[in-house]
Amino acid sequence: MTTKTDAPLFQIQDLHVSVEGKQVLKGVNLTINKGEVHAIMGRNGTGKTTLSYTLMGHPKYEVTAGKILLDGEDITSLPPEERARKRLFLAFQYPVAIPGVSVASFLRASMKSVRSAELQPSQFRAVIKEELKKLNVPEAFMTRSLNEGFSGGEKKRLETLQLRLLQPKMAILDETDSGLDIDALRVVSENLENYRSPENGGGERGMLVITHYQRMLNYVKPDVVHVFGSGKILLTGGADLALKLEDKGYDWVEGA
Amino acid sequence: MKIPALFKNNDLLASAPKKEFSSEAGSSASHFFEWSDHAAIEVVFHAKKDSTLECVFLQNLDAKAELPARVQLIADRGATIRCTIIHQGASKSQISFDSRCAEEGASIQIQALANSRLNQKHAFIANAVHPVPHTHSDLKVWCVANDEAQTIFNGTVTIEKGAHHTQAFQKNKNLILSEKATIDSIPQLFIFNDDVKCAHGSSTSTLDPDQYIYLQSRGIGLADAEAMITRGFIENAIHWIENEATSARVHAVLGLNQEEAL
Ligand SMILES: Nc1ncnc2c1ncn2[C@@H]1O[C@H](COP(=O)(O)OP(=O)(O)OP(=O)(O)O)[C@@H](O)[C@H]1O
Ligand SMILES: [Mg+2]
Repeated sequence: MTTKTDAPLFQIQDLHVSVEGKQVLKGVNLTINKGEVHAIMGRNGTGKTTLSYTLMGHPKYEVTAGKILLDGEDITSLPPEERARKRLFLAFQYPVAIPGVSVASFLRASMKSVRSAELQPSQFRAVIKEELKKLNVPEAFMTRSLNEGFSGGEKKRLETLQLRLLQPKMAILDETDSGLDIDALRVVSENLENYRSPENGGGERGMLVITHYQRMLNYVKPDVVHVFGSGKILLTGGADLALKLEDKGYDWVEGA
Repeated sequence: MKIPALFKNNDLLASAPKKEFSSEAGSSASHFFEWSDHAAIEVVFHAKKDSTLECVFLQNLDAKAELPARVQLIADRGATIRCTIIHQGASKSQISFDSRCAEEGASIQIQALANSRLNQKHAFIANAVHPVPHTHSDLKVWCVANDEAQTIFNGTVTIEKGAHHTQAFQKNKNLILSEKATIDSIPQLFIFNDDVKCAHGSSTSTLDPDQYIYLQSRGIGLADAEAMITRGFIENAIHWIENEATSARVHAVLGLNQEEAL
């Protein structure tokens, strides 16, 4: 094993990625330590979702140079399911519908794959019920087809539920705040903030929050904010950078 | 394009035994027929006036069988039929099903599933007949073909003159799991009257990478992800079966565990 306990939780090193023959990521570098929340903001089409898919191992996104390390271990060539079992998680910007597969059977299958070391299948039911309640998701959801006909906000709530159930050590959230109404935004954000709080084990976890707005960052306060543009990180700052972007837009950022 | 039927003449059917199942007027009933005898068969499901009939016809012949069957669905005045027809076994089998909304207010809904693999050849030949006004038929055909299987769907809707306010729908969805499998389908629509509402459509797809990557990202391996998506596709056709014993048997024959509720 190449795992080093003193290594940063998550590292992206000089990541270059092309999709459909087009170079989209052009040298992304990022280090997230245990307990940290980083936010990425940036104009549409700059490569944020490309980054999130690549981190999760989507085969369409070809890594042409660079590395991804989780706990010091190079995961760049692992398939998505193995990354998930190493407790990497992506909340999708566009969650996919799978007709005929019920939410309940999907959640059970994924918990079995990811958490079998800590939980017996007989415990899943109670755990799911508890998390549903925290997210104000009705139990009737469980018998529906996965994401089929779900509203935008319902999909994002289900992504958040999955994060809570799979307990990742590194979570990437791709616009999890989009499509949520005001109350839902608060509920989802509170659940995420609760997940990263030190009392609940958040000191061992990391989060990468991709967003266009400050609204979720009011709850999930970032330690570091990055501006993404032209396939790389253009500028890095503290939580106040997000406020400045909200106020002034991107024009003043060089290269954006 | 003309789609060949698997069985051209009907000699086998002409001498086939005929079984009848019905729901009595004003009642509701559920009938299940599992076809596993080594002989052609004709089955009639008849919903009498103002009754509701749930029926399931399951083709579960042994692997060498080469046989046709005919299923007739008849709905009388105000009656509703909810029918599920499944191809699972045999090496070559054809099910011709005729649904007849015989009187006003009749409604016939059908879900047909072909679960074809290895060298199996499965055909559905469907005909929905609307002879009188104010009737409704809705057919959904789901074909999943793996290995070198060949699946055929040929659908017709016949709306006779004077059958005003007919609503007739046919939809066909196909999932191809291997490069050597084929699915041929032409939903044909024959309309003989202006005052009717009809729709038909057909789509064929392979496994969608976005779907299995989503499952993989939740820790589910590729083979399991493909099985889940395929199972989901099949569930679309059978989840509506209300009779619990029938549903359990159908799931067992199709090799699917039944879902636990949360
Ligand atoms: N599968 C793909 N095929 C072709 N082009 C792609 C694909 N995925 C991404 N791209 C292109 O890569 C660029 C970056 O897209 P990406 O979705 O990563 O942007 P984004 O920063 O997430 O944008 P948004 O803020 O709108 O979500 C775009 O020009 C997009 O069209
Ligand atoms: Mg995006």
